[in-house]
Amino acid sequence: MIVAEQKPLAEIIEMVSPYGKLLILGCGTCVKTCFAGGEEEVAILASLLRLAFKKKGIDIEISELTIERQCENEFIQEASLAVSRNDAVLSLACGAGVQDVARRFTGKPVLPGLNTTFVGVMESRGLFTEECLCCGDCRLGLTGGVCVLARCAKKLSNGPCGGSRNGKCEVNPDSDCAWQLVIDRMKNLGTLDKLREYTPPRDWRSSNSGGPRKILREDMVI
Amino acid sequence: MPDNEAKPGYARAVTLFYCINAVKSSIFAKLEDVGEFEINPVKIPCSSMIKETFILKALEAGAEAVLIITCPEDSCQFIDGNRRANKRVERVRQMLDEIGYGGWRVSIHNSRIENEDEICLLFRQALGQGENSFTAESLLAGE
Repeated sequence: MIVAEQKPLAEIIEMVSPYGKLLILGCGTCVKTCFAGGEEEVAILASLLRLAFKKKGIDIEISELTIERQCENEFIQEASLAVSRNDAVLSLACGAGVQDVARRFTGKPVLPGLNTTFVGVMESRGLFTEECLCCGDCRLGLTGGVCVLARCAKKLSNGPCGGSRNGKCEVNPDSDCAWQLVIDRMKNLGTLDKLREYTPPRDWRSSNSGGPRKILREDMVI
Repeated sequence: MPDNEAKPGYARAVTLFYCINAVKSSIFAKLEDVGEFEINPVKIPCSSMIKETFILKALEAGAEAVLIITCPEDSCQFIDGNRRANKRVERVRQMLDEIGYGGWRVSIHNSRIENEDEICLLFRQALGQGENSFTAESLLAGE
């Protein structure tokens, strides 16, 4: 999932203060799962903003809506009426969601309420960890299902650096050494010998260094 | 004057969320005679039911303070309900401090309440914290 966290409240308050009518628009998919942008977080933020503006003596009308996904036009359309009734939209979605909503409602300011952080998983309740850099050339099959690009602090593709201690990374001792995880897992699977095989260098043309990437599925185009 | 500030001659509004296993309901009948507070009691089957939005909505609705009473630590019949409540209260307090509204407005008490005097004391403590740090004048001045 895409993991995000809410911006500092002071930054949000400053961003929304020019508007008299504000819609807080939540997203019910990834950012809901990471407790940043579902119905619950929308309600909390709406209450906090109402209290903050009440304290400042400023009248602001805040409405709340959460749609299933802000990165898909079919769901965005459900917000049309609510968006038209407000001066601005504060989107609690990832960067893709914010941009898709802004693209759909061209005449309306759409503001980001979250900082999109990474693609990751919920390792345990309340703990989210980065697992994927979206490099476009997945090698997980070669490293026992552990992404060394996302999880090694030095992004080493050819084995451990030698600096890890007790299975922990020397850059950040709170993190597991990605290569230790690779070796442990491949040992467990009985496939450690595969690491001796030559693998060609990664194809970086598929990474995001060449600007925004696109995928076109001809079979889906009508 | 903001809704949350007590007006002269009026009781101070406090919303109380309490676990039914921590407070005897009979206390509330006696509390009506005290008259010092305007109490909005909300009973919940376990303090784990407390959500951040409930607390914030209570403040939005005009409560000057919100008090949560849970079972003592390690005696929640649902194992960690009161721990969850503590974490959520802490989060709300931090957020209220961040917007300058006063995290002191929300307090949590982890012990069983047997009589109305105990609960009145808690209300006074909850509201008393604010008297030094967050007065009606400072609110009006937007400090």
